[in-house]
Amino acid sequence: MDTNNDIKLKLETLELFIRVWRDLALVKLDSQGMLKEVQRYLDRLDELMLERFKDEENIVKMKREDILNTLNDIFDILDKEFPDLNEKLNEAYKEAFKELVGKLLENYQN
Amino acid sequence: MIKERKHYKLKQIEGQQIEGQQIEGSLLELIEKIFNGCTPEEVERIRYALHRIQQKLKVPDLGPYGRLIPPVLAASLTGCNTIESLKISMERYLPAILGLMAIIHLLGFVGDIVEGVAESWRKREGFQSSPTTTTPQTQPTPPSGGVFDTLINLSPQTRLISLVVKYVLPVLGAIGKFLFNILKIVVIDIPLGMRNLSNKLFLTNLIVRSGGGPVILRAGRRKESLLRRVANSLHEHQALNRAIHVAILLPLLSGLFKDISEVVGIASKQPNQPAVVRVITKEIIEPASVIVESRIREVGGELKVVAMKEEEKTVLKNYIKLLVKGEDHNKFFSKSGLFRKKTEMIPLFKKMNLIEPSTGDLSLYRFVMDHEGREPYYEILLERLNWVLNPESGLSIEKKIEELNNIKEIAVFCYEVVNAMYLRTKEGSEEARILLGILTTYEEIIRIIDEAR
Repeated sequence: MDTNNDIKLKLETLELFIRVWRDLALVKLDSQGMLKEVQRYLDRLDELMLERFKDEENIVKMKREDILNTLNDIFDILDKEFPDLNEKLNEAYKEAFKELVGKLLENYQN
Repeated sequence: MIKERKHYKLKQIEGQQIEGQQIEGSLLELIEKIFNGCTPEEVERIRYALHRIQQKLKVPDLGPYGRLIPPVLAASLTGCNTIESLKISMERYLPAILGLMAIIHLLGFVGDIVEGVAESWRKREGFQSSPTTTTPQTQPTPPSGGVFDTLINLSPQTRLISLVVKYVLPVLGAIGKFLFNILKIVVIDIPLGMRNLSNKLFLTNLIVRSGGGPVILRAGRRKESLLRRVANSLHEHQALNRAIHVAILLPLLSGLFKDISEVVGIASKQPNQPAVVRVITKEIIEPASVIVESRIREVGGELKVVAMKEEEKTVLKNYIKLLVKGEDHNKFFSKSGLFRKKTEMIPLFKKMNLIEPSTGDLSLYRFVMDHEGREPYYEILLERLNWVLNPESGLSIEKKIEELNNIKEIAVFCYEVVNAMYLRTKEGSEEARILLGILTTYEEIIRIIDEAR
């Protein structure tokens, strides 16, 4: 049975694993010139959110379904405007993950 | 009716080999295989290997803006340790941002003074230069002309000051404005009592809406669980799953995200499945005991469990026995029942906050205090319980408990829930310590319940 310290170590290692994974993905995204597109996506999301929801009072008054539908609409728009972004992001993460696993094995065995 | 959206599957990783073992399926499975099957020594080796990989990585420099973006938004969105993240961002970035603001304001202030001085100098120079002119054709143009016309007639020193005033300071101001536009820092103090769905959705929207920049959610410990529920609400529908991308993207931009593990957990899971950390730790942590008390609808209230002394525990045990036998709890207080025999218990119940001060009724609230009896943790627990429940059942704890038939089931249920809660609190936190303290009563009470049956 793991002790608390063992668990802590595992969680910290997991966190490190994911951070390195993130860094690798970042390297890949940067090499593909994706970071700017990501920022544009976020800006557009922000703009649409402000446009549709207007203010917090309005949101509180809205029905839950309406909020979700509005969000759906927003993401539909984003899908059209950024058709490949999600796919590219997933690809970058996926590739980074595979690479990290490969590197990890290599380093682990050495 | 909510519109349907196609299912969005994240990060399916296949065909990897770890120590000769074929890894299939999701990241979640891989992580579980890595961390569940490893000894501490193996984990240490993995950790070392990861450090070596990290050292070799050349992570792109996101520039000063990227480094300034605090990770709080992503942390809160994804149910990570918001307080920790908040602390980090406050400690590291806010002073820098405030300092920058102060410098810009100071520059503006100095600029105003300099501009005033320059203006008076300029006027004086213009005034003095007029008499020295020899011919009317070469007389300088009035100062109201273009800046270059004006500069021609000024001394080099005054020209420099004028240039600074007219060009450098506005540029600095524009840079400052640009900076703040990029950062879009919003500090939101989440109001107390924001627990209902509307507020949750409001926060959800707020977080999603702020995808273009960070939001510092200033929240106390109790509100942390609210943020976690917000994260959970993002899984209620496919559209909201997209919002999770925001959570993933922000750390990418920030380059600083500390507690990303749960981001991946949420991103990796399908809606209504538990987050990765919880799943993993559930496997590897020794099953903890748990508080066994619950709402009991029939008696119109909830059960409070306090950090107890032995004598108080005895009272509670007796009380639970009574309940399990199906006795009316009011017998404790009725003149015809146990009240007269057990009057000595009333002060204890009062001490344990089991009596409603307003009505004098026995109040069965879940109530957990710290070891010094200072802080009521009831609300934290309830919120956590609700949060833990929601991913799986979508039910509130109240509804869930309504479905349970007896205290044994409730106890088992509480065991699962509080165990999960404990796992999330991590070692060393005060909350975990308190929970650990009260968890020890679980097995004992279960035994009592069994005996009573």
